[in-house]
Amino acid sequence: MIKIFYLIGKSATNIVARPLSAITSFLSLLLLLLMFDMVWISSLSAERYYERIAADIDMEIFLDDTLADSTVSGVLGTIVEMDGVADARYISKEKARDKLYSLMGADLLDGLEDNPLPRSVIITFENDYRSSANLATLKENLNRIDGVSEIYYPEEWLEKIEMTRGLIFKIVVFLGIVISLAVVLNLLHSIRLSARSRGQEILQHRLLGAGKFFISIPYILEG
Amino acid sequence: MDKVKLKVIENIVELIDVNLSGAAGKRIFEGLNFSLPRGKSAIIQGQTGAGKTSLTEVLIGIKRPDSGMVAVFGTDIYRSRESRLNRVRRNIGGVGGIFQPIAYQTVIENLSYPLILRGDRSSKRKTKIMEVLGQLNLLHKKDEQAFNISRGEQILLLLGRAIVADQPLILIDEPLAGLDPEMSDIVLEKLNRLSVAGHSLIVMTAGQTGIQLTDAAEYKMSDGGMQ
Repeated sequence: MIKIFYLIGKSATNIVARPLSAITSFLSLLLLLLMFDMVWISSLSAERYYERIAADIDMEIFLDDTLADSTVSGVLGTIVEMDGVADARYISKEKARDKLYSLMGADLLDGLEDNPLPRSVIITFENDYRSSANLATLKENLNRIDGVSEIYYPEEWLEKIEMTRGLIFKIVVFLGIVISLAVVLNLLHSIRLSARSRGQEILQHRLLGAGKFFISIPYILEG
Repeated sequence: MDKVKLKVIENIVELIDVNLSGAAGKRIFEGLNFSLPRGKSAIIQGQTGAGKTSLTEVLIGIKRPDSGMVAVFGTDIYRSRESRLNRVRRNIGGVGGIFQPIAYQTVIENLSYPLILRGDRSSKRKTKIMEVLGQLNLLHKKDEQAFNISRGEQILLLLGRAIVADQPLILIDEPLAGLDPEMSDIVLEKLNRLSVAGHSLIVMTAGQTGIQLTDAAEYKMSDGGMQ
């Protein structure tokens, strides 16, 4: 116990005895950790931004005009059962026309005998399913359903934001490793400098019979 | 073999056929034999470069000889574990040469360290240190940092370090170098007291020193050996 009190006291004394050196080491470590925090916060913000964008992604499945209205509900049922599909909403020709009207502010189809707009199904995805690989698989499966004529979702755009997200992650990991290394090296360097500047003291302690562990503890605590 | 073992235990220091080379391959010790019975002291004279400081370093366990055996307190220090060597070192005091006070620590702090290693309580340490400082007339310097006191006082401080820890063996390298006659007399008187009190002193000195210790054997180091 006496030795433990001595070691703690000695570490505190060493810090107090060299305030400038202690403050310099502390500030440089603080700066490094602050940098790491900034990088980490940036990556978190990027991740949240990606999640928000990804939440808005949906897929529109256009149905063939030859498909009988009576079979649409069967197709809808098949789509809803598929992996990763959270919800499927059917858009009839009339709804599609209303949507176009509200989008354009005028009925562009006025005067036409038939409504040329296709029927469609808009699907939204489960939260952890919104990756380009998953959506490509889903698209492939949907294409196998009879009556599906075309499928649209922002495929290229999704791939691009995924690439950007991967790049940000790699940069954060790289910077994290570099900063962690810098912190460790800085600490070791501080300890080494402190020990070197007290070489004479360490020699005297050795000559008096102190063990390596006992001699090094105050420097480690100080670091 | 048994005889050698018995002899090692009888002697506080025992060097058998020790060979030591310097950095440039120069022979420092060549088959050096030396022994010091418990409670006896030795004055070892030798010119600069004769190997006096090397002998101190060998005895304290920081300079491994090329061959031979170095036993201190019956422990073959270069064939022992570090913990054992540290226990041996706690019983060896040192003055001058490689043994110096810790410059930026106070006199009290310098004297405390061997007692802390021993695990003595603060109150016990203080009592013991004050008693020794009184014996050495250093009480008025107790809070001074070691670099602030004179060379003679530093020598007394190192002797004090050996006295507080009650170290039976004290290695002393050129104790009177740089001291005025008055301080030399004080140091010599303290050394004699320690010798009479039963401490074994090994005093290294170059040439004419005027060092005389009660009941101390005198040796001369030259050509890698000791006569």
